[in-house]
Amino acid sequence: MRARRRLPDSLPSPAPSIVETAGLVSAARDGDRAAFGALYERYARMVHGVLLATAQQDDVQDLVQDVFFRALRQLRTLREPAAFGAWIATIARNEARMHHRAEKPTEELSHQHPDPGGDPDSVPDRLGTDDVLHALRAVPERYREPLTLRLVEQMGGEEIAARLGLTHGTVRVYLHHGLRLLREQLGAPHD
Amino acid sequence: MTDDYLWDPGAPPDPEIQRLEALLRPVAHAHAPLRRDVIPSTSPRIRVGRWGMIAAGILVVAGGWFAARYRATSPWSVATMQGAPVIRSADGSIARGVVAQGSVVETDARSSAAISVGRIGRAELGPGSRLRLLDVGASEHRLSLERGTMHASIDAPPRYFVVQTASALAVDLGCVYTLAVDERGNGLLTVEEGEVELQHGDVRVAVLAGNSAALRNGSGPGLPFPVRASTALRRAIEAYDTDPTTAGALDAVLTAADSQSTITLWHLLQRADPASRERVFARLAAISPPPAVVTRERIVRGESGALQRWRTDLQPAWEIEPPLWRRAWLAMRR
Repeated sequence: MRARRRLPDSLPSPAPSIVETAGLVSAARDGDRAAFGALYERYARMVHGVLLATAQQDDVQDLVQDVFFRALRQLRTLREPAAFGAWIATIARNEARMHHRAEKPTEELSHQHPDPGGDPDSVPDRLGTDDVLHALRAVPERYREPLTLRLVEQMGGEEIAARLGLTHGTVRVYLHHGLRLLREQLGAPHD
Repeated sequence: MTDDYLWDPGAPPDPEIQRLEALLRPVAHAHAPLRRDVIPSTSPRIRVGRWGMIAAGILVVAGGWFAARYRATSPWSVATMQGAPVIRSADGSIARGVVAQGSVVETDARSSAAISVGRIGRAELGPGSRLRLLDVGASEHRLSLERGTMHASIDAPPRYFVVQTASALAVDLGCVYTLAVDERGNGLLTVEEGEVELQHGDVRVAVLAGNSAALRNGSGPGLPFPVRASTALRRAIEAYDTDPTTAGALDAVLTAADSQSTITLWHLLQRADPASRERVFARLAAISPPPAVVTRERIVRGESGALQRWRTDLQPAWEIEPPLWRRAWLAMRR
């Protein structure tokens, strides 16, 4: 096996997870169940966040399992093992969209429009989980996903970038603008 | 509100974001184990006879031979688009169709070639080009464009596809772009989709979709500018890139820059000396006022955090994606 070349100082080293992920994908393709389990451990939180950004909250845990089931069946079609994160995120998005189309319309949340009479310098006080989740889902998709991963799944910016295959700069922009839009949805002024 | 905590949950907390996190915690991933039915159970053991073992052995040997042959050649292949492109192996011999590590693909004035870049995309080499494949590793694909034009369409994780030239390193951050250089490394990068980072020593230039940047031997990447930039701005940038100390070079850029070219001014903040930086700040702030936390003093001091914070506000206006029909066409060719 060829020894890995040391990268020159001018080029930042790629995140080690890319190489590790590629190895796990190769092993999982060869039928290594533990490797696929490790991919699940590593990416379940991200898949959960991507699904939660669109699908019904009650169904998300089941959908996570469905996404990994689909991924396992389609693993051989993945062109680049290192791109597993971006690939499974796409599967999750499709799964969430299909689920969203199939589901029956539900009742509007009771606190869709928050009371504007609260503290004008922050998000209103009388908010519940459903209110924030509802507002989060009203944020455009490109901002919604990274913001869900950050606020719900507690992932850091670097991890979000690595998992979704985005650049740090892009994730910074999406988080910042996404939060501003979320605050607008919640009826709070932005900075 | 601070952006540090929004980016890094380990940073000093922001109470408002913490409150949102607390409200959303009940709907976070519950770390349920993967269901057993998702992963198929192990196949039942099958008794294999003596002849079965021999057949399996033959298959293993044959498979190993094919695998070794495949690895030795690498998955990069070349298709002629026009004329007669030449592939030279590392030992100087002429190869056919497949590019291995150390190989060079050359096109003459009448030839062009399409290179299948492993499984991650495609690179088209224009007439009069010379491209060397340096490395095909698990962590990166690296090649060197020694002269000519390359149009790359790549679908891979950021920093996976890297192209060296004599004047800068072009690091793919997931995109479609055209890189043209002469043998000295002078040339132009134009990004059509996504983003490319140009590197030269400590200099980093972000070239986003709809923007270009010149490459200059000896001084590395130039200031990025929108492909739709005015002739006046292009000329001013060219003069500044060539020699930023020339009298009036900075003023010409500041005068020609407008609301469409904040990408140029933001990069100029990093290049200019502290005295000039104040003037660049004034011009950029007049076009797009910075957020309250980004003060003139912090920018003049060259504080990286303040620069990045301002970039966060400016960047959405930098990216000009191609029209839908063009994106569909590019995706189809990838």
